[in-house]
Amino acid sequence: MNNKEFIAELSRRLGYTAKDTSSLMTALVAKMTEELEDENIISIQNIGLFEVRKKNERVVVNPATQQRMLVPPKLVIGFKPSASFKEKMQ
Amino acid sequence: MNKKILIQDLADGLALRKGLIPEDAELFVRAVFDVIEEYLQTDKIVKVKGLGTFKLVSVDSRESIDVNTGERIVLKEYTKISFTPDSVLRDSVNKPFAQFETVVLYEGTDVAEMERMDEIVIADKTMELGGSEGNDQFFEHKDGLANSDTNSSLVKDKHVTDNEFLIESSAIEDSSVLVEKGLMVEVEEDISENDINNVPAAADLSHMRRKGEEDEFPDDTNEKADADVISEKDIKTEQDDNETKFVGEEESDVSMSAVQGLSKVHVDNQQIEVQKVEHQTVENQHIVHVVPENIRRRVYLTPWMIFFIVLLVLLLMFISYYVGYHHLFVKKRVEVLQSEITVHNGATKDKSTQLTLDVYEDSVSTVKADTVMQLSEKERKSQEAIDETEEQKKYSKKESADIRRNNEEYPQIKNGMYEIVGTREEHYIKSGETLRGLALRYYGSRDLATYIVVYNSIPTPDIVPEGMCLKIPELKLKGN
Repeated sequence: MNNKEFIAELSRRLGYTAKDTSSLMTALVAKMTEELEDENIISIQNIGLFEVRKKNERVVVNPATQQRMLVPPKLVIGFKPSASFKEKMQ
Repeated sequence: MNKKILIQDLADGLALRKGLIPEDAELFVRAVFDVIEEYLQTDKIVKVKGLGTFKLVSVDSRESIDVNTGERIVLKEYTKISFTPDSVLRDSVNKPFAQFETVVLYEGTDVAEMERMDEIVIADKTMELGGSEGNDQFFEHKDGLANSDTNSSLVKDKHVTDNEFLIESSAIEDSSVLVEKGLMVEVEEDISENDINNVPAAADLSHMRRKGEEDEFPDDTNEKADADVISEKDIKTEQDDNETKFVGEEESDVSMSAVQGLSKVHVDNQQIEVQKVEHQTVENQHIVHVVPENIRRRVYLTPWMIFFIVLLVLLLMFISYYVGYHHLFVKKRVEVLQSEITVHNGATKDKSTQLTLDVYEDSVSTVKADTVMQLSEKERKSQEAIDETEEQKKYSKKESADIRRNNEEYPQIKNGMYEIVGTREEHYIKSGETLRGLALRYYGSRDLATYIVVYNSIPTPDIVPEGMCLKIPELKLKGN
């Protein structure tokens, strides 16, 4: 299911126009992004947690050339599905 | 930071942003996640723009070993929910670390080495800790010293007015150092001797104290004599063997000071005595402790070595003054004289500049300035002649001849690359102009500012007054 289908489904369910739904969706995503930038945890019931984790810098070796590289530290988004969500997906 | 955001909060934010009723906003957010959930189940993949992709990944069944029992077990196949954030979201979250890039490590850089160094440092620290635990005795000794010092300082506090007593207490401190030294020479063999020496001293002290309590003045002198006798005895024994020397001195010092302290301080007699006895006992305790070897050497070297080094440096300074740099200093004196003259010139010149300010671009004034300069030149020459007669004995004739020749026409820079052969131009200093700037303008090099300084004999090249009339010298390369 791509974004277009997703918006269409949403607007069908809620009775909004696709345009409205799209703008609302953008606003929601912006809000979520904002919260994640502040390193807050977004917890959604029956779905799971979105959280920001810090990955430390590390040295990797290219197995072909034996060249070693230092990978910088970074912040990544982790998604941890809730138990009920996992259960449903089986 | 690390706040937990729920659907409610998201809905509130959305309502604020879009001007929705909070209930509608909440409904919308719930609907979004419901759709994701449902369609993930059916389509196995849901892409949401700006957020990311939810995907179901099936993991096949595999064999594994139970960690507890060691049995081979089969793990069931299952589906994993994966979430890949949209690149926009990923980048915006990683903003704090965005400036970092993956760096290629070349062979020279050894990360393991750095880690090893860290380990060594940590190991050293633990070693130090262990060492300190092992050397408890040594630390006790140190503590003892500290105690004795504090004791004496207490005494100091109580009798600040009594200067002599202060000196005595400092003597006690010194003697404690001496005790250390003596100990360091040969500690273990001397323990018995020290004990023998110290026991009579302690006895004497207690003896003194008793007497001091009964009546102070007449007995004090006797005690002094006693102490002297003791110290003499000690000195005799010192001559026999070096090891007891310092200890003996220390004892005599302490006993002497005790006696004098008794005679001079009557108010808190008992207290001092008690403290002194404590002091003594503390020092006796020191004798029992063994001092490590490396400490011995360090303490042994410091006070006298520093004194000798300072003496040596002073000696070298004197030698260098009289041998090498004597003529330099003398020359400086001539320069000082010259600068006095130039100050004189400056005074006359100031007058002239005032005149020139009155009639700014009048050529007469420049003529005046010139005549003033000539006058000053004459003055300098005469002064120079006097200087020469005064200092003739001190210089070689050649040098004086040099100076005379250089000053005949125009002032010159000795050893300079250029020669001053005349006046090129006259320049009135405006605000913001510097001599170096002028040199850059006229000669193309800032370094040549010194020629302007010398030619105009400016006493303070850093501060040139505005409106000052400067003569820019004509330069000629030497040797042409």
